[in-house]
Amino acid sequence: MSEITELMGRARAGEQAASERLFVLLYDDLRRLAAGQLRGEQMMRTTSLVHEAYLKIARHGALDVNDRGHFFAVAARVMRQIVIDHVRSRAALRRGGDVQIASLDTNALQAAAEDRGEEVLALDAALARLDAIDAPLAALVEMRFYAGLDLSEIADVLDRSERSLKRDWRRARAFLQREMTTA
Amino acid sequence: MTTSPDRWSRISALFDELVELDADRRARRLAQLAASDPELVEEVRALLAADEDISGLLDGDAAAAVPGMLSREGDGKPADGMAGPYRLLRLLGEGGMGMVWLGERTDGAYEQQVAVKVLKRGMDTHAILRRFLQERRILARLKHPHVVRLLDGGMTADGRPFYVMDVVDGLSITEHARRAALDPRARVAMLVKVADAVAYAHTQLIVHRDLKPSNVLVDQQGEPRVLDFGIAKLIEESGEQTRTGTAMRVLSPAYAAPEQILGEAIGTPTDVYALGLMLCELLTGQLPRQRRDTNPSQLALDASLEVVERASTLAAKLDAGQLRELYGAGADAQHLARDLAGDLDLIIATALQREPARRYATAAAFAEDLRRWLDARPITARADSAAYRLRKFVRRHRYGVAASVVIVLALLAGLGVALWQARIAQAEARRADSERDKAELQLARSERVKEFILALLGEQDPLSRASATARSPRAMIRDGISIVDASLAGDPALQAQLFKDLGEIQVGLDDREAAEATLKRAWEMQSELSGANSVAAAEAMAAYADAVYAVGELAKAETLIRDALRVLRAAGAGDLPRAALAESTLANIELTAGRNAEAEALARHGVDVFRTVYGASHVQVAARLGVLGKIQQEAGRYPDALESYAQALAIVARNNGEEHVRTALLRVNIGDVLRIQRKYEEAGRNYEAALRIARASLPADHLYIGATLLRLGDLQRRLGRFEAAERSFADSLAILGKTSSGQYAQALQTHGTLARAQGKFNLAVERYRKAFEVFRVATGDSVYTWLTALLEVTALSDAGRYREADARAGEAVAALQRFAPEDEYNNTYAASVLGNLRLAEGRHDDAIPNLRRALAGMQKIYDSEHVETAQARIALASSLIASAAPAALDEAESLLAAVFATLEHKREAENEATLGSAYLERGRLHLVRGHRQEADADIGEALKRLKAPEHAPKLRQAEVLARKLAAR
Repeated sequence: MSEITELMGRARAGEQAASERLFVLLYDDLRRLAAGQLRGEQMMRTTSLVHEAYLKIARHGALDVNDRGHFFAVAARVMRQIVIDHVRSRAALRRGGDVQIASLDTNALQAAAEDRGEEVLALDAALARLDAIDAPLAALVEMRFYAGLDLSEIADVLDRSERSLKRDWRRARAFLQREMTTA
Repeated sequence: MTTSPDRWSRISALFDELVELDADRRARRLAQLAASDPELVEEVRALLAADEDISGLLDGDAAAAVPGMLSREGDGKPADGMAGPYRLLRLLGEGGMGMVWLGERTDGAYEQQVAVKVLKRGMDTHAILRRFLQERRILARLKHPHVVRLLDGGMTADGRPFYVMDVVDGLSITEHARRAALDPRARVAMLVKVADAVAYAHTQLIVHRDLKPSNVLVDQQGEPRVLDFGIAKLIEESGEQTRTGTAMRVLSPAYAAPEQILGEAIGTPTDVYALGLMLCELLTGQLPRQRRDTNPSQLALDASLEVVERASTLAAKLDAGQLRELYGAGADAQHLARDLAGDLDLIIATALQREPARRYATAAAFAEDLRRWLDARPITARADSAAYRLRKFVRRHRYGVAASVVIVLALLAGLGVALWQARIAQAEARRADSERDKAELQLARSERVKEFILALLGEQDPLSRASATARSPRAMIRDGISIVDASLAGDPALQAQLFKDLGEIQVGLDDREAAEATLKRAWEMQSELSGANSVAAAEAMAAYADAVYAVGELAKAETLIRDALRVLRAAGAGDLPRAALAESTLANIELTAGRNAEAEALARHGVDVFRTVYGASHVQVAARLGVLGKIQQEAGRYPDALESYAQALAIVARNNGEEHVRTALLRVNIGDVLRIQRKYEEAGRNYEAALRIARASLPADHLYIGATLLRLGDLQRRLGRFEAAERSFADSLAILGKTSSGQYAQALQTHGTLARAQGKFNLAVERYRKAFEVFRVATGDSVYTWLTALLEVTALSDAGRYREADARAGEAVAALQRFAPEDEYNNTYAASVLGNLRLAEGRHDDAIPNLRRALAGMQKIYDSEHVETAQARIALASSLIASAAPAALDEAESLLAAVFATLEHKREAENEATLGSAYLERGRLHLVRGHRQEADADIGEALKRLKAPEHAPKLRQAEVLARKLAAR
């Protein structure tokens, strides 16, 4: 916990090793939270995962406002990695491996949704291109799409107006949509 | 297509503009732009088209797009069941770093089965892999009959590093020895082989760093094989070097050498330490020292100060059941203890020295001494050289990293301990191996602690606060205690610990009665669990005593603390922080009882202990300096007190920043000393800064705010700002009046002084009386209680209620003589009050000796130029003049001359009244001598300066004299 808070400070100050370590720690955390949530009954969404991870470290005073924005940005990037890892590992599975994990989610809805894996990979590639020309815009997409935060929440943590974020989102969405259909 | 950032920003601006327009206007604008930059227009057009596309993907979120994503990770096997070219067949075991699989090559390169260790998520940085590839050749070069060979390594399809080694079909060395019922000699001989293997690795410049029984397997031929050489180093150095947090994630605290926990340099002696531990465990079934791995500061402390028990002592304590479990039927504890006593004890103790340099330098030297023991030759460890003993004194431990661990703790405060415990438990759970049962218990605990904390924090979530009412911290902790109560009944050890942590937080939150109840339970539970005379119970008792002290039951707190200290000192823990903390509370109690020297000695010891343990610039040291400063201040040693506070403030500001709430507390203390020194402006600046910081970081009704307001009010009174002072006092009393604390009494007392300043002497008497009663409840028959009674005497005297004043003065002087016969300040003050009372009553024969004593004392306490001294001179002059003897008049004249000389240098507004009194007395003197003109002038000056309501009695005297002069 404290390690995350401390790393956050160092990462914000631009220390590369701290950023990497923060990423790894959060990856571990979010994955464990995800596994834990399965046992519970509540409807699971990425947003509640990220919030829960945040709660764990946002004890009163443990994070300042700047850290909050930074936290959600990193968590969103971590969620993106988790999504991609998942889609890739499932693709590997379909190529003929152990079917153990697949047996966990065989209902029709999920089976249909599985086909979106390719789309998710295409989005990731498009997002990488967006990141190259407009990193803040890509970060916004990560927070909204991968971390599942509402624009109003993002506005809050980034201290931006919701209206300008809405404009940014519309532009980002158009860019990605076009990249994904023309790529 | 590629777009430059520049171009993208132009596209962005156009898009934002056009997307808002209706179709017609959009088309017109695009046509207009197409003339100048058709390509740009084309791109914007494509974006606008994409904007109108329905995107099933982007309009939802990732969870909707990939619903199976968050499913259980299964058993951690890579999704494709492969690690590079190795097919994973079945799970062999699980360790802290990952899982070990039985594997075989699929590309037919060779048939042999291998063990494949796939590292866990959370360790899969590319850095590890890079380092692994660098070091693989070196590690693969390790070829020794007792070293498990490293064969290969790589990355799985889902991105986790793995490495491949020989399969060893066998048990851990301790388990093997137990099952084979090996005798002590056979066990030592087995460990010699392990030490040889480690020594061989040392010659290849490879340190193992993570030696423990589960890393030494004994194969079917009965030969020990050491696993995982150099792996711990790979992982640590791919992360953040030697930081303790990282080491703790990877290492099991139970087996780590002190330097690993403290983050000091690691080398071959680190492995020697581990070999010593393993030998001890092999021979006695136990580790030779207890590490209470409940929180990191404790761990770091234990590691830095720990004393290991002799193996033979451990052996002698084994009961029959344990012995049979360890050596099979027929073993005898006394016999075993005799075998181990002497050289073997010494060899183990040498390997387990706290300082790496005092151990065997290499595993080879350790193995050599074990061989000597097996052959009954003299061992080398006997020659503990004199040079060494000398160096032991010269050397200083380095506590740097231990300190940084504790800073983290300090930041997290109490709850952090529980969180840390959870983390350590998780780290330990990952190391499961042979300790699986214990680890599972710990993991279950950590999960419960985590759930508990999440439950507590649920409503504090800043993102969902709109819907939930934020609770006060006190309510939160109280709820937390109910949760602990309800949900952890099955785990009294954890419950007792959490009660203690939460109770200490309650003390910090000033939830006193609740804290007392919580800590009482913690103490009782701990006594039940580990015995009333255990260190843990004594620590809980000391924590409870702090709460009892906070509630104001001083006598009870004192008894408890003395009991706790007795246990802690007897257990050799008298120079550890918990004891020093208890001594701080005791010092405050001693101070209340007027035993200044005892109090200061206790406080100094606290500073020394914390400096030694945490390092000179640690935040914890600041807290001890604060206590010391307080005691110096109370003892009247103002420059010393200011110095202590300044040191503390510098430490806090450096560690926590200038605006940290602790700086507020220290500023209040500094303000207090400055106020006593009458440096009011400087004092005021400190109080105001303190108030600003405290209000920004504490609840509005926090005690510290009440206490700061009280001081500010007093200062405002001194500066004549009565209305502002009344406001400050009203706020202050509302906060402080919730309990009968010493601070509340002090507020009442100062409030009385405000009434006196306003000339409301009867009101002042009332307030002082109430202050006296509250002091009596809060501090008993203390110095504070009776100094307040003296204030009441002064107010009674001002109000002309001499009979009551007489009675009260008699009681107070007697009481003060009883408590603090030697106290300079008390005696001087008592003499001054009594002398002034006698003066007011016109009993000059009684007044003069008292006022002489007061003057002498003032000169000693302050100096002969101080305003208080001037006032004492005036009072004495006044009673001398009244006696009308010629010699007395001469003395009065020179006293008053000294007063005028003093006050000339101190022409400040607040000294005007004193100057007025001096004029009044000189006027009186002139009148007695018949110098009417001079008398007239002086009385005129006096009348101008005694207008403040506080000085009404003197003003009346001046008016009487003026009328007398006018009448003649």
